[in-house]
Amino acid sequence: MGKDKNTLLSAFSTAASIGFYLVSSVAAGILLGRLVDGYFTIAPWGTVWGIVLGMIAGMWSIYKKVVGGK
Amino acid sequence: MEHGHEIGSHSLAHFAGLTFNMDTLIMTWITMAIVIVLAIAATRRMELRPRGWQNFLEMAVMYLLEQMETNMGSKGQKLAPLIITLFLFLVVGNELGLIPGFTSPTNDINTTLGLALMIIVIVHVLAIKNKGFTKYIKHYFEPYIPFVVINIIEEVAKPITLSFRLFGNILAGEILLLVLGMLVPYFVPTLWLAFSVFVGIVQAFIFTMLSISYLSNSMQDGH
Repeated sequence: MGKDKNTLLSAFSTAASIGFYLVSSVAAGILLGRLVDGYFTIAPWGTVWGIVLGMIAGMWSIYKKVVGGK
Repeated sequence: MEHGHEIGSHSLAHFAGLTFNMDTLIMTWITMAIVIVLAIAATRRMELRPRGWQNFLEMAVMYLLEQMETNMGSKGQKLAPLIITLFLFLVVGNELGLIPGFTSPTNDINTTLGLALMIIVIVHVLAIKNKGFTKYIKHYFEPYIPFVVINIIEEVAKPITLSFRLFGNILAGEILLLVLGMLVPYFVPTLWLAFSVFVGIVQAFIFTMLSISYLSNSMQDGH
């Protein structure tokens, strides 16, 4: 199999998974936010900041994936 | 339900204070057995010009080896048995649920999260081994120190994205198959069944490719 086909298939798998990067980063943000809420009893601010940071993290990982090629 | 099992609900067994999803467990064993039988069938009478199972498995193995070579370099060959077994397990597991009366082991979040966590643990262990502990910790503070929160969220998101994609796709496929079977019997479910075979292979492929990609990041000596 040629190298082009390899690149094509990895590009395909990246494209197919890119939406999940955003969703799962927000999910991870909520998870960590809720942990912070429980620990410091500052609900709902931990969750709110978790969601915001999760969205930024999702964008950041997509940026790294697309620009950095990894 | 008509097809002999309810998707999403599991038959539970309690043992030593733990709860086991028996159907997932039994399907995992069946998948393991099929993978072992496939591997034996493909390697029992090896021929220079492969036929049948040997041909199919050699194609899959060669392809995965090429992917690993491209992404990880020669160092990645050590992980070949893990990646190839993972791919075969996922393909067989995903397709198993399409047989009436059977369910996929991958339609249970416990299976997919278990596999994802296994990959993530290996990723971090390899990263510490290859980069050294100081460099590994430093990598979380790049490019700027405040990015540590974002980098940690990214790391937590990795097992979530790996496990939920596979679980969601397989479970949704099986639920839709059941619903379509009740609503418009025969023609539409058959089309969806054919598509589900494709989806099962693609999802196994994506899980494996992302695992390779995460592992390759931790195999590099530098960043």
